[in-house]
Amino acid sequence: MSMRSLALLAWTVWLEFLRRKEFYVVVILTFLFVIGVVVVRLVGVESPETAAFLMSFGLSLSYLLAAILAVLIAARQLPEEIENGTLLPLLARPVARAEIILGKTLAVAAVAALTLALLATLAWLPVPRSPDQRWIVLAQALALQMLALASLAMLTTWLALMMPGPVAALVALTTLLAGGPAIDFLDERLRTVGALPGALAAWGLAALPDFSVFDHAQRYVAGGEPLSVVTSLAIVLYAAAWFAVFYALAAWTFHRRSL
Amino acid sequence: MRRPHAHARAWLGGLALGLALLPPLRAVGRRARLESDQVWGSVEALERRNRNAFAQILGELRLGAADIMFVKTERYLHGGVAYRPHLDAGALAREGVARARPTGGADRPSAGEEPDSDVSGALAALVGPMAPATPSAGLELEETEADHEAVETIIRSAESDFRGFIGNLEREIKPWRPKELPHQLSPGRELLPWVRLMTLANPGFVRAYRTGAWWLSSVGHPDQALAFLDEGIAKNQDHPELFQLYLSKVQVLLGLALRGEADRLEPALAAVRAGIAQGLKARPADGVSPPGAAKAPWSEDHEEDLAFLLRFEPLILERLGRTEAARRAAEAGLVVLPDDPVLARLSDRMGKADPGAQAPIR
Repeated sequence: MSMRSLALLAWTVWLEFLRRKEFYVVVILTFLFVIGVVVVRLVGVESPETAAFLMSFGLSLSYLLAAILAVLIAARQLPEEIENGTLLPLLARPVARAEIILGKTLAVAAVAALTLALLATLAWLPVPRSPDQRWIVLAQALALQMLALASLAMLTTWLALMMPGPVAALVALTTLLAGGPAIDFLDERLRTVGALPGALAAWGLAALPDFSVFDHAQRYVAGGEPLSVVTSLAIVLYAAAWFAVFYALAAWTFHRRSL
Repeated sequence: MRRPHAHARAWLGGLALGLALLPPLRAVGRRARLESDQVWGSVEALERRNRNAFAQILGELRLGAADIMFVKTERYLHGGVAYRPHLDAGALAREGVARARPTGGADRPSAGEEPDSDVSGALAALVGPMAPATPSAGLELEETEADHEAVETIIRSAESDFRGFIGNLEREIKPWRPKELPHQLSPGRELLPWVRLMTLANPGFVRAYRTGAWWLSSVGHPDQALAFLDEGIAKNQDHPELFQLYLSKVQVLLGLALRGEADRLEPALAAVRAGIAQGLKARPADGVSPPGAAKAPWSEDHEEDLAFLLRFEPLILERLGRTEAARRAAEAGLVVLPDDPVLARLSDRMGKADPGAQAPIR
């Protein structure tokens, strides 16, 4: 696997993104956020409660929109190329199927991360900040969300190899939004079954993707303390582990798939 | 060139390693997320968690199933009227804004209320709303006259609503009573299934156990209330609010004792001592946390509940005839809360303890 191959693959995704004018989606979203900024500036923010609400809303919406963009782009990458037959010339080159998966997904993750950074900045700028809100906490929250977007993109890529693109996108988004609470609920219930079965079942459940562990924007809004180094590292490793798992699954599925 | 089987083994090995690492890493991340959202089931945690923008926009849709059910119980309790849940009754009482007439509802004595000189009266005053009803007692609660003029409800008033005509439209079409009118409480039986589901969805929801026990006790099932509380205690051994479950248990047991079941006093004493131990463990060294504390807040409600436990111990001991132990317990309580007027009065009434007698175990 070479970095040059990965970079070239990512560049093709970026060019596709521009060619298909999908960047207009980002432009429109940015425009809507700018309108929101102007409105907030004109109306003014009088109370800390309103400021907290706007900050929370802006950051949450940025993350959600970036995730939707990541999922939609990732869901159509490989299926479309397979359907159009444009993947065969690529496979004729000395590029492994696993490299194609990785290169394309990294590009999608980069686009999503840029979108998140742009929209979050626009959401953050006009709202008055309280002294408790520390930039390091915001930086941590955004960085972890970007890692989540990368894992989400890889998950979507894998799902899109097994099911229609829109279905894959829906499953990925559902996992993002409802996976954490669903796992928590089942985890709590299974613990009442018995000590050993509960522990085994809970361990099994913990091996399901829980994207809620990456979302710490509310910690920033509430003026909380930064995550410790150990906790941050654990979450980064969690993201890396899931990225690796989804990558392995996607590579295996793509390897076995006939074109 | 690597053989294909080597590739497959490499991938499978990587997959297995990744899956093996996931559970412990998730546990760390989840704990951090819970701290971010302050998910401890307390009143403050509930309000803080539901200050998330989407929770506010979507109204009753909360971030957890248990929270959704909690809102449901508030709706059932108030006959479909969407007041802000009256969860901070202690603060309302101290501020003097809401003056609810007790109807056997969830009011409890305020921190400064002094017990009668008679032990039964003192206990009854402190047990108050947790006293079990007779089995045939219904819950036709009287209309409570409450002055809610200054209480901020979740229904915005026209003056504070930025939504303009949309807000006016919402106030017209929704079945909400103006906050100036007295609110009505519904019989509590409909709440019980929701409370049960709440604890199934979130066994760490201490308030749900306490509320459920209160209602079970009120409709004449104190033993079920005790069993429910025991379940909550078993499931929340690490919870900072565990001591409040013991407090609720003490109140139910004492209610039964006051009805003539004297054999409930020893279990009540055991529960109060366990509650005090847990409360002291959870209480920060400097007592009530300053406003806006990010972690593990110890509120005035927590302080008040611990105070109740510290008051119960000498009263129960006195009722059991162990006056010397009661004196020591009152003095030990004053060491923790030197400004507590109830403990001071109890200590004065009981007199000074014998210096040679053994202090209560903490």
